[in-house]
This record gives sequence, C-alpha cells and structure tokens, in this order.
Amino acid sequence: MHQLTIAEIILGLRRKAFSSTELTRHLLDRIQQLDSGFNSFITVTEELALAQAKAADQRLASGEAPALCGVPIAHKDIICTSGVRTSCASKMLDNFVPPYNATIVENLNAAGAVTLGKTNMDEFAMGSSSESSYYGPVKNPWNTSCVPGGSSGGSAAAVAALLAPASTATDTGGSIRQPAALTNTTGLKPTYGRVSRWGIVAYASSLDQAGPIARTAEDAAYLLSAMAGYDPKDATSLNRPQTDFGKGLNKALTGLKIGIPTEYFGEGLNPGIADRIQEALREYEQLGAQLQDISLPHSKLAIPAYYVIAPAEASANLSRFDGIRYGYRCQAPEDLRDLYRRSRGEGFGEEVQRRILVGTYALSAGYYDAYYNKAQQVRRLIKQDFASAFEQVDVIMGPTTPSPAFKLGTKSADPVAMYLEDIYTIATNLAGLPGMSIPCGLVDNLPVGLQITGNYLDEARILNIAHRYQQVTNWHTASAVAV
Amino acid sequence: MTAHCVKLTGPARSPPRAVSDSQRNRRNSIAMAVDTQTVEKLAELARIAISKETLEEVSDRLGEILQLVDQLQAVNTDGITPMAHPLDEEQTLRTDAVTESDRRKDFLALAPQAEEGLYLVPKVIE
Amino acid sequence: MEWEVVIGLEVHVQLSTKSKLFSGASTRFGAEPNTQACAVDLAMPGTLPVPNEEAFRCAVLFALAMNAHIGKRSVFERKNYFYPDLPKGYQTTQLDQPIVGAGEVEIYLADGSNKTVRLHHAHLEEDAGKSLHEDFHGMSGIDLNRAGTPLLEIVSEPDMRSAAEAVAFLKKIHSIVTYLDISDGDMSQGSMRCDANVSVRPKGEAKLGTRTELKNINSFRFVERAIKAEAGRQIDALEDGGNIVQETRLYDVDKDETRSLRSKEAANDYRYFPCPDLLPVVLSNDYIEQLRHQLPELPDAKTARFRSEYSLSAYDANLLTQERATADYFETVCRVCNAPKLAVNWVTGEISALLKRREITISQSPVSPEQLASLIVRIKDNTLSSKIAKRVFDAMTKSADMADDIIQKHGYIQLSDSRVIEKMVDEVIATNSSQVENYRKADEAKRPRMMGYFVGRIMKASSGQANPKLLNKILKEKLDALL
Repeated sequence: MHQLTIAEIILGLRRKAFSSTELTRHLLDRIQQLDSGFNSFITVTEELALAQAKAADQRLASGEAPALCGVPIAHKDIICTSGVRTSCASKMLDNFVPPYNATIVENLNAAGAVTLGKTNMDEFAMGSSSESSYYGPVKNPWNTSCVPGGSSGGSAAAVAALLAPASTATDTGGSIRQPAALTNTTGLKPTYGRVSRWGIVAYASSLDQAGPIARTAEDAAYLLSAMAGYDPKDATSLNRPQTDFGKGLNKALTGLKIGIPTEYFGEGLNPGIADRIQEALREYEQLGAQLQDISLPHSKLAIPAYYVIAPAEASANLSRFDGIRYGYRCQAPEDLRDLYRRSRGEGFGEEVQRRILVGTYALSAGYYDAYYNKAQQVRRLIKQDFASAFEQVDVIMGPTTPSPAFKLGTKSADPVAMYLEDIYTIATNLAGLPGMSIPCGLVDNLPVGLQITGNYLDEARILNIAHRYQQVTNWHTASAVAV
Repeated sequence: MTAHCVKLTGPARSPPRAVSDSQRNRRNSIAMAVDTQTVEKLAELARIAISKETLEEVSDRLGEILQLVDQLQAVNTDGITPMAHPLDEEQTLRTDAVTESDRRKDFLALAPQAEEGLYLVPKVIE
Repeated sequence: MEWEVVIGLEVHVQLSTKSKLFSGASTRFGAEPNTQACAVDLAMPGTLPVPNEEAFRCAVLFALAMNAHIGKRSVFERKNYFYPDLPKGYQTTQLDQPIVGAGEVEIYLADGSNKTVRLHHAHLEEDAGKSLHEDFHGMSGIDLNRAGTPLLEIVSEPDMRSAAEAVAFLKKIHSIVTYLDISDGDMSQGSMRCDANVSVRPKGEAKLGTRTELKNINSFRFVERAIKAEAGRQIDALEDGGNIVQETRLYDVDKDETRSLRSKEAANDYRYFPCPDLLPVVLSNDYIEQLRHQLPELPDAKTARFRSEYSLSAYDANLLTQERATADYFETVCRVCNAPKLAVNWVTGEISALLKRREITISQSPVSPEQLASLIVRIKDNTLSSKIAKRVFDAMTKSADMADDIIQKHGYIQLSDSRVIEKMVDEVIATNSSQVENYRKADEAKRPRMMGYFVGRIMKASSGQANPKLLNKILKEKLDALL
C-alpha cells in the first residue's frame, strides 16, 4: 500500500479497496519500523492521524468526501499545526505547540487530508542538506550515508522512503526542488503569493513559498489545488481565482518552446547530470517541444544577492525568538540583556546565528546601500532576465542541482560550499516564479532532478509539462527502498 | 513609482558610517576580513551570545560569506530600482473590524514565565 | 547674551480605529492585561500583518487638513531593536515613503499674532506594549494590549521659538485630529504623546545648536514646563562654558527639571528596511478626492466663519473653535437664542468655569446647549437680570429643566413694571434722607457711584428681581429731581 500514489489512493479509497484507517495504520507502522534509518520525522502524530483517518472513512462512507479525503500526508515542521509541536528543527522551539493552524494545514484538513506527522529539516529552513536540525541529520533513502538535500530534507526523504505519499514543504532558495532532485521525488515551488504563508514560520518573507513534494506531478497537482488560494490573512497573498491544477495535465506539448539557459550548463555541473538533462530534453523533443538556447546573464549573481536578502529578512524575522512569550529561555538570566543573548545564543544553532549576523551586517549603518540595496537592485536585473526569456520561450529547463546527493558532513563546516548547492534554484525565488524538480535519471545510483521553471502563475502549465514526461518515462517510479 | 507620485521627504536613514580610503579604492570589493570586534558588535545588535572561543571561527566564516556576497559590487546597477517584492503587486487593505477574541489563556500557557496575566522578564530599566 | 530657543515636536496620535494597525484585535483602552493581544500582536511564529484601511483613511484626512503632500505610494519598514514591549523585535513603521509628506499649519498665540509652522511629514506606525514595574519577584510584567495600536507620528520642522509656540502647535494638532474625529486626543490616556527636540542658540545665529530630545510628555501643561526647564538648563550650561550632549532626556514633573535617559539601544543602529510581509500601499486620486469631500469644516475655516457670521472678535472666535465640541455647543446655543454675543459670554464664561471646576469636557456639561439657550432668551427679553440669570444657571447644573420652568418654579421673574419700581424708589428716598442729602451735596462726578447705595437697597428689597436698567433710570430721574 505504501507505494501508492495519491491518485491511486483516492481511487482505492472510493472503491473501498482499503480504508483510510488501514492505510494510515500501515504508514504509521512503516514510519515506526523504518524511520530510525532516515530520521525524516521529528514528530509522528499517531493519535491525530488515526482520528482523522476514522473521520475520513466515515465521510467516504457517506459519499460526501472532499478531494483528499483520507489521504495521509506529512507536514514540514516549519508549518504550524494546532496542538502539535512545531519546532522548526530548533532547540528554540523544541517546546513550542502552537494553538493555531497554518492556512495550508486548514486547507488540507478541509480537503480531508490525514496528518501523519511533522518532518525534519534544516533549522529554520536555513540549509541545503537537512543536517543542521536540532534533532539530528536526515539521511537520504537512496544512500543513507548521503544527505537528502534541504531544507525540506525530511519531507523529501519521507516520500522517497515510502513513509508518506506526499508532504508539504517550503522553498526559499530551493528547499523544495533541491531535496526533491536528490531523493527522486517531484517537488513544486509555486509562484510567490500563490500559497498562503500564514502560520508558516518565516525565514525570508519575500522569498518563502510553500508547495508539495510528491511522487508524481499528478499528485503534486492534487496537493497544490488544496493548498493554494487567496488568504486575506497574508498581505502578500495573490487574489486570483481558485485553480484546479489537475485539469490540464494531459495537454499535448506540441509546439512548446523550452528555453535552455546556457549559464546552467557551464563549469561546476556534474557531467553525469548534464547527460541526464540532455536525455530528458531529447525526450521533450520527442513529445513535440522545441528547444531554444536562452541566456540569463545575471545568473551568477543570484547566490550573492540571495545571501544578502535572505539573511537580512531573517535577521528581523527571527528577532521574535527572545525567550519571553514562547520557546526557549536560558536558565537564570542575570538581566534582560543576558536573557536575550543567552536564550538566542543557546537556542539557535550555528548556521541560524551565522545568517542572523550576516543579515544584521548587511542592514547596518553604512552597509545598507552597498549590500541590501545593491542586492535588491540585482534582484530586479535577475527578474528582468527571466522576463526577456519568457518573451521567447514558454518554460525554462535545466538541472536542479549541480551535483547529486553528497556525503553527510562534507559541506556542513563550509557554509559557502553549501550555499553553492542552490546555484540553479535561487534565481527562481528572487524573481518569485514557479519552479519544479522532477526525476530524470540516476548518476552513480543517485537521483538527478530536471528543473522546470514557468512564468508567473503558470503552475498548471509546468505540471502539465512534468506530467507528460512522467507518462512516457519511469524515472519517477524508481524507488530508493525495497517496495 | 509612477510619474504623478509625489516625491516625499522623510527622515534620513542612519548616517552612513565613514568608509576608509582603502575601502573606497577597492571599487569591486568593500568587505574586508571581518574582525572579531565587528562580530561582537553584530552579536550585540542581534542579541546573540557568542563565546570567546568561537569568536575567531565565526569571524572567519562571516568573512567567507561576505566575500561571496561581494561579487555584487562588480555590477553596475545605476538607475535600477531596488526590488523588495518579487511581484509588483499593491497592498490590499483590511476593513477595520475586531475579529480576534481573547485567547490569553492559550498564549500565556506558552510563556516561560508569566503571572497575573503578564509576561515576566528581568527588570526593565528606563 | 540673548538666547533663542528652537523647538521641533514629534507628536504621536493614537488613531481611533476599532482594531489594530495590523491585526483584528480590539484597541479598547483599559482591558485586562494581554486580553487584547492576539497571535499577531504577540508575534507568534508564522503570524503575518495585514494593514487596516481605517488607519490610512485617518492619515489621509489629516494630510488634507494640513494641506500636506499625500504619499500616494507609501511603504512600511521595519525598525529593529530589542525591547520586551516590542514582541517582533522590530517596529513596523514608515521611513522614506510615509503616508503624509510636507505641509504647514497656522498657530495662534496669546498676543493675538499667528505663525506658520511647517510639517516635515507624518507616518503610520504601530505602538508598543507596556512594561509594568510593580515588583514580581524583582521582575517586570509585560502587557501587550497596546502593542499594534495605530499611531500617526506627526513631525514638525524646528520652527517654534518658545514653549508657548510649542503648546500652540500641539493644541492646533489636537484641534485638527479631534475635528477630523481620527483620535480622541486624550493625553491622559496616552492617545496623544509628545516628544520635543529642544536646542538653544545666541539670538541672530543661523546655525542650530545641539539638540536634546525630551521624551513622552503627556499634557499641554508639562510640554510648556518641560521645554522651559530644558531650555533653561541648556542656557545655563552654555553660559557656564559647558556644552550640550545630543541625548534623550526625561522631564521630572516633581523636580521641574530634565534628566538624561539611557538610550534604548546603546549602538542605536535600527537597521531599517522595507517590511517584506507588506506591499506598497497605493492610493488612487479617486479615493483621496472622496475623502476630501468628507472633510468637516476645520478650525481655521470655522474661526473665519464665526468672525463674519456672529461678528466675533478674533480672540473669541479662536477660543470657541479650538475644540470642535465647544464650537458645536456654541452654534447650538446661537441657533436657539439668536444672541451670539451673549452666547460667547456664557460659553467662555460660566460654562468654561463650570467645566474647569468639575474637570470635565464640554460634551459632559451638565447644562445642555438647549438649556443655556433658553436662559439667554430670557436675558435677552429682560425677563432675567444677570444676577438672577446666574441663579437660574446654577439650578440648571442640577437639573435638566429649561429656563422658563426654573423661573416659574422659583418665581425668578425680573421686576420690570415701572410703577412698582417707582414705588420702591420713592420708599427708599423717603427712608434714607441723610443719604439723599449727601447725594445732593456731592460732586456731580461722584453721584453715579453714590447711586449704588440706593440700588443695593432696592435690589435687596426685591430679592434681586428688579430690572437693573429700569431701576437705574428711574432712580436717577427721581434723585436728580431733588437737586
């Protein structure tokens, strides 16, 4: 049962091939038996899951079940779940149980989804390997001596290890797409503003966007249809009509113009990955698409711009963790200053502290123009690159990551090396565009991701493009673990 | 900004810190190695206690990051409007209505220390 | 040496919205601690701000009233500092693109002169909570009910040259915001607070002296005293060869002196940057024009109208229009009694004294404008002497009765029957022969004063009800006939 896709689960539940309770129980058992090897969950919500499954079974029996009724999923532990600890994989929030749900949790609950638990991640979503978690690193189900990518490494690993059919995740600089690529899963980062940020602990507010990690594009469409929508509680939420992202999945790709940015195939790209991407592109030609070289001349500046903007926003976003109203407070503070400094010094991990300090530096007197303002100007140049590209092509394709999953511990001491992991994904966040990563083969038995970047609000299009590929290839069905 | 927008005067941002001549002359790079003093100043602003033993290490790593970020200095961005938001959307405002009820009990239960409906902190000195 | 004081004011006006600037929590004053602090106000993880339209409406009305530029595109920024009453660790405020730009306002001084004070700008921002310093085992208690309450911070240019001018400016702002009904302006509840930037320089010197900032002055009276005390301190220091340090100071009411206040953040680097959770607020010309049509008659226009319509002096017109409620009261009285001069005298006289005695505002006056008008009608038609009118007025402070009811109940009719008065005069002349003799012999210039004796006797005999004008006329005729 654990290898079923959401599309298959929906069908199976309605045909009474199995109940949600049976499926949920089965997955909870799998998590209990297997997850010690992957560490993909921080919290397993057994009681909640079974109660939700039971309720879903009743609704299914009554014949009035919403779209995802009885479908078990997992939530990244940065997404607030009422009554369930939401730790952001940080000591700071180890004891934090929010009395409210994130809007996407409300939406998915309303669609009938069952919550299996909360997935592990890089602390406060700051990282590309899921090693900086207070609860220990996540391991890649394809090779447990490797990282699953990050920051949504737990969400990706849980899906890859067949512990959950899909999970929610967030992507600030590649945190959905990069782990999806490294674990052979399908991940989608929507257009900025498509999915409400309410109740998702903010890392970098102008870049953060939640989306699904699933096994297929079709499943991602199911999840996104439930997650997305205008939310008056998020002032940056886009007020656009509700969309069924599953509707156009089967559209033919004849005449589709695919842009290939030359900058994404230069130095630093693993040759094996370059080959897999070329093979995938040939597959798209077979499907009727046309390839066209394009240029995104400011690509190289995406990482520098990101590592000013994201830390600057984070430095302010994380000021609320001060040991006063919730979360970690140091023992016996001498005075107010000591309370702040030790609560934050002891509660935050190294990388989080590092980014707060970088952000503080970039915003401080005398450096604002040279760093923050400059980065926001470069951000516009990057957005303009994409705008010109989309005048010529419908979508942009390239590798999601420069290399396959790397060994645990190899980059954690070298932040800059870690940052370069997101070299192909970050620009999408800076511009606010939707992007996907889908499996397109293996290199040394490690998965490779094809990145598909669409124009604003073109999620349905890129899902269609991903789905068609998955109809004619079976890379996405390759499994990390024995079925 | 659209043409009919009124140019407003506002209070200036904090005055720029003096940039030394050597910094000014290195046109493509302004970040120098971050010294431990700077790190201590940043840590104070960010209210993060950093132990003396790790100070050097933190300075080195910050220096490396700033070096990476320094690539920005080489780009000509004259006349480019900074982009704080990925989409050029305008704010939708909320109608003035009280929509929240009292949940003090739920929230105070999360506090490390609270009493008589108040959050407690070490004495605040004015 | 002759010194000149230079003052600029920063006035924080609490806007009378129902809910907070960025959340749906109530702004009601005086609730139990932390019962009006919702998840957003408490900066719970994942929560997001959504701006309140009413706050913008208030700010635009203010801009229109001040003939100020309107920021058709305004941007919220984060001002970063740590303080327990600031839950997010930053204050959401406006900096480079405030909602209200430069403008100017006329102030009126006691000597009848007026002066233009320039407005630098005004911006919207959220208020902080409160630290309570009662002893909780040596700790402070934090109440966040006020956190997030909308404030309009009004910043003047350093155009004022005396404490009296500063007070006049503050009163003008108070008058405008209460006219617009955008704030209750109640300084005792902190709805209006004021910081004053004070410096001194030798008269004739163009360069500004070093300024200090006097924080949180909460009454008109204290503004005047605090500025005087601080200017005095600065002059003394400079005359003693000392210098002034730019710093924040606090006025000590009991000692009538200012003292240095340690700054909130030693380094004072607020690291402002645009709040990524909020988009630029763009106001259309239509919206602004719609509000322009909603503008009530403002103090200056009302003053001009009162002068022409009621033939009032500049002084009286100013006095009456300073508060909208007073002006409205006056106009209601006038409408009923049609005797503006009497109405001014009574409103600025008896009513004003009554309010001061009872420490209440005119809207709480025990004597309604209709009551007062009914009294004035009877003064005007000579039914009441001014002496009796005061008695009727006193009765009005204790009941809702109209003048005629009181007159009837107490028999307070003015004696205007000349035959009755003649009889009384005859009697007094007959029974006070020595006084009459003195009168006859007296110098002509002294006679009017000597008449007072007879008037007094008759008034006493008539319980004050004799019409004084008539009495004087008859008495003079009769006495002069004896000459």
